[in-house]
Amino acid sequence: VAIWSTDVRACKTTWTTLLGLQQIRATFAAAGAIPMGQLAFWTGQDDTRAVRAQALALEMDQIFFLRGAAYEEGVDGAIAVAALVDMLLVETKVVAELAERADTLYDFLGESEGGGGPGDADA
Amino acid sequence: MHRARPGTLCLAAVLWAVVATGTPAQETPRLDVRDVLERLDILGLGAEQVAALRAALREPETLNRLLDHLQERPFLNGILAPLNLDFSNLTAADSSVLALTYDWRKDLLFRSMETGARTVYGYHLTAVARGALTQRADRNPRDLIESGFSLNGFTSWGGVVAAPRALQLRMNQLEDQMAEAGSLAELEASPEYREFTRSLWGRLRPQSYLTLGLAGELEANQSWDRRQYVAGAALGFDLKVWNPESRAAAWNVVDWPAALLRYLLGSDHRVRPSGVAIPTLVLGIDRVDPANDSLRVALGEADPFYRFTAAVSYKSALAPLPGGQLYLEAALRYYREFAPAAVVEGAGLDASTFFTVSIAAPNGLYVAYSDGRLPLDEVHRKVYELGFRISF
Repeated sequence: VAIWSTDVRACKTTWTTLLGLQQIRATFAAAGAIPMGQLAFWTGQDDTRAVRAQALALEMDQIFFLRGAAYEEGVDGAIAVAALVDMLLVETKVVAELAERADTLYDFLGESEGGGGPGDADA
Repeated sequence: MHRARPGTLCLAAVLWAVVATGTPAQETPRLDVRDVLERLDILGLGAEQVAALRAALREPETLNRLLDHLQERPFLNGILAPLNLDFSNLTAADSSVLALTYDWRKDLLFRSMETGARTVYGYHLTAVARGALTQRADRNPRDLIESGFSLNGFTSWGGVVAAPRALQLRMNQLEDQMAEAGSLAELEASPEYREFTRSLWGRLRPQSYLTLGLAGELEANQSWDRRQYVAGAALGFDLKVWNPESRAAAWNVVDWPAALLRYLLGSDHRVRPSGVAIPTLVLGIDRVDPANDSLRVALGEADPFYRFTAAVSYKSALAPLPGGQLYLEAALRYYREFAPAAVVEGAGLDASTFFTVSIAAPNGLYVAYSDGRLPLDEVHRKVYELGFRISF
């Protein structure tokens, strides 16, 4: 089960990114359990869903950088965007799992100052 | 890595066998739940209880909940992960059938590069499989199964404007405070939310995403007596105006009815079309080889032909609900053959349109209306759906 905590910067930044992109409309507490099928990009039509997911993943990648994030070591834009697309296209994956995946791809601003990754939340 | 649940395929197959039991007009011997229970007599169930059990097993909600339990069983990881399965009742004018729909899409290769601050381009190789299976193939109102590969190049431009470090740190502070909100109303009324969204939206620009690709697919109907090989090129375009305060969003006329509904439902304080709900478009030209299409063979027109295709999808949020949002969604698929033979045109095989509109709640309950037919479906149907959707 993915960690969804206010102690994890990746969780909060993923939440505010989806909120800002109007993909969800929920408090932080409620957002973690929202599945990809409930995001605004998700459509029942297969042809266009993939197009929408790729566009959204690219936009999320850019917003993470706008927020001061950098790629983790060994990760580049192609790896990060492809991983986000893979998550977005599974209808039952939830926002907490998307944030957990994002945390492995991006070094979010402030991660090392008490708003770190899942490991920090466990501590 | 995402978790995959291919074991669900096995259970889906078993469930499907159970659901299909007792279906008339099938020549193959089948497993019958009632027979099994009565012969084994392991539960001491009476005829009424068995009948109730069978009825429950035919409810999409029951079946989806059974499938949902399999999410806890990560049998295998990897290639089968992006698999979505749904059970639903499809009701046409003359019949109602239980349908299992599936779609799977996997990027086997993905590469991207940035050419500037806000422009990205790349390519990806993708495998796809999708379709709908019903108890009786001849009553399948979505009688099209597709499997194939595509190679697509893409570019995206626009999107965001960079922020100075001071603003980045301030946005972190704001989201820390926003995360403590106890309700959506409290969150959206907070000064932190207003400052955060103003800061973010002010730096978002309309994003355009363009993809161009080549694809090869096998199309078939459920009974597999109509098959055709398709090779083609497709162009996809997605435009999003991410800033809801942007005047450009008002040009999304498709979203005006939804904007009015949002206002009437009280989920927006003014009638405001959404720039996120701009429809997505995919256009294509295919070369179709219908050598295994029994209907075209019977007409003596089994030579390869070219066709134009279009797919459009639209989705707009109406109101926030626990677990997500209430959505209005519509989609259109259109196919037209170039220069069809008179006999093909006369049989109505030269063009097909399939339109669907739905309203869906986050608990899985949805109502939908579909009109038209898909290329290998011989009957034009109006289909009403009331279903419960859980995917895995």
